[in-house]
Amino acid sequence: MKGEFRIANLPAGPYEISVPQMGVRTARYAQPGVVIEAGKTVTFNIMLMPNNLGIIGDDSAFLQTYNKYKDLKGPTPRTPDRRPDFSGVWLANVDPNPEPAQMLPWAQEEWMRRRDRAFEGMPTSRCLPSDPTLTLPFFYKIIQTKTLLIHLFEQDPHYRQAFLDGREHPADPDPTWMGHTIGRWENDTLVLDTVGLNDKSWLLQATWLPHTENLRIIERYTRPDLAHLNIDVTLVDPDTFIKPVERHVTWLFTPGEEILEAVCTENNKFGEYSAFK
Amino acid sequence: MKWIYLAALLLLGASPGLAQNGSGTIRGAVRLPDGPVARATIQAKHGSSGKVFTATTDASGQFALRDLPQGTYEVSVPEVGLTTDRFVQRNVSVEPGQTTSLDITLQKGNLGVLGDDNGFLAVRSKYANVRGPAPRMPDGRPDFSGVWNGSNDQNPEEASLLPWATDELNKRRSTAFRDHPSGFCLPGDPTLTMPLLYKLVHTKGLLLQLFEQEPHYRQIFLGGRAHPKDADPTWMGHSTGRWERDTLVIETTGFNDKSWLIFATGLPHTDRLRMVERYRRPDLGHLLVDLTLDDPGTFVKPIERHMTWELAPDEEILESICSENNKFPENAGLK
Repeated sequence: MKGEFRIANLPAGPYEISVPQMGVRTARYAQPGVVIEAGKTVTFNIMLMPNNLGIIGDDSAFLQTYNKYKDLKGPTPRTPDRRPDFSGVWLANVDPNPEPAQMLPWAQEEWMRRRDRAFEGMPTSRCLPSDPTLTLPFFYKIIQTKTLLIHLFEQDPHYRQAFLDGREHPADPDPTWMGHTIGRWENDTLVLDTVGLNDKSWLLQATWLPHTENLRIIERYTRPDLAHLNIDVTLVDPDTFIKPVERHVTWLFTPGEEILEAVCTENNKFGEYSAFK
Repeated sequence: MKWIYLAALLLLGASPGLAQNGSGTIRGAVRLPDGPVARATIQAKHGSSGKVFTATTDASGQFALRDLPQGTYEVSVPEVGLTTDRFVQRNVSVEPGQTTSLDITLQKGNLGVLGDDNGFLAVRSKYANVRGPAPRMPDGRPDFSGVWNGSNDQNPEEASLLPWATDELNKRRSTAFRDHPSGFCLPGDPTLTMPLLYKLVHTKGLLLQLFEQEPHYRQIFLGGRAHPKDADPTWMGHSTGRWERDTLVIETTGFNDKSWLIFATGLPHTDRLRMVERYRRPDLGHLLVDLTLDDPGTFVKPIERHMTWELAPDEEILESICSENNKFPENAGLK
């Protein structure tokens, strides 16, 4: 509760100490070259940096919500046909140790151009859908029926449908921001497969990778207990990535929360405030 | 959307018919310039009694209103989705034993905008023969799940507005509704009265509605929860549902005062608005929606609308991103 920690029984040697990003509340902290000697204790105080500009909603709410539900215990809820039931409101989080994406030269150049302009061209700043990977560390509400898995969220376009009724992808889909998602069960794992994406979205929260229409997103959902949803995301796009990009996230069940109405177009000031006009 | 009101082409005449006992017939066809309109409703309102007789066109657009008492009638064809404007013809006379011919050419209710075209009619015709009992949830309640083709009220009553609201509505009309929130990619209308596709996902604790307009979804909480005591006003408000036998009664409060109500009507309102919807599914293919809007800060008496949605089981709502290249403000000279 006081924010203190202790890591005991470390073999002697140099260490990299890191604190993964917590929601949009704190930036990742990493300190390489911390040397541990046998029989000695290293005292190490860490000052995390806020990961935002103090914007309402990016404040301590993430930590408060996390702490409110982190001790939830119980078995995995099941649907009448004995599948895991993913329904509920979830607090998402980022991959604690994201690997850098390996991109083809055009994609590397495009990504650097985005970074150098402080990501000002991000579609969300113009109230467009941002990211079909659902990796923002915000609330997601899942509504699961026998034939559908629906995500509701506060970002545009506010929902995604995954069809669980055995249908195939359309043979020649019109490319969309969210693509076409189908799901199938592998034992207790729901495997979601998304194709038919346009090339306009920026992938992975805070990374904002480019991609082509050949992108395929594979998500593997497991719910090992009441409180946790583990999601393994794989992004496959041979025209952008040298090898598939993976993310591993764990969402926390927050049954007393609710997603709120969020209307981006209502008084959106981004275009006015951008330094790159 | 724009509505162009043009005079309809009419062919009026009288010829001997077979009707007996002082009654007559109105017979004819309903067309659009590009073909017949199937399953259109024809209404004939008797002048002195006010009694309304109805018929429906067949696949080739033909209709017959039989056994009509002698007199003059107001014949009308309600709007069909966004495809056609309402048609009204007054003073159609019916003589005993005679057949009055009335061929009706409807006017398109839009500017040929993609999605406002004959799609509504095509979807309607495709699922005209959906038959069967209303599906039920495991707990025996009607299951409203499915993709539905929404509809207009066939005979919408004029709203009785307080003076400020009449002034505001007149202002909106005189500017061709150019300030409608949906023109700026804002949620336009919490009433779901646009005749477009709606997807309903019904679980034990929730009725979820997905639609192509902003904000793309509405949640109706069925678990017995109450409205929040002091809700932050929102475009869609806070909706709860309770069952009265097989009718789901949905109550919504907590609105902001920014939305424009009932689709093309564009009514103003205050944040005291309270919306009550009664959903029934009498059979597989139909969802009956009775809507009541109560706002003592705006309406002299509550406004009602009555819609019949039709199941369109093989359709799907599409991704629709208003902010993507929205040209409305530019084209309306507002930018």
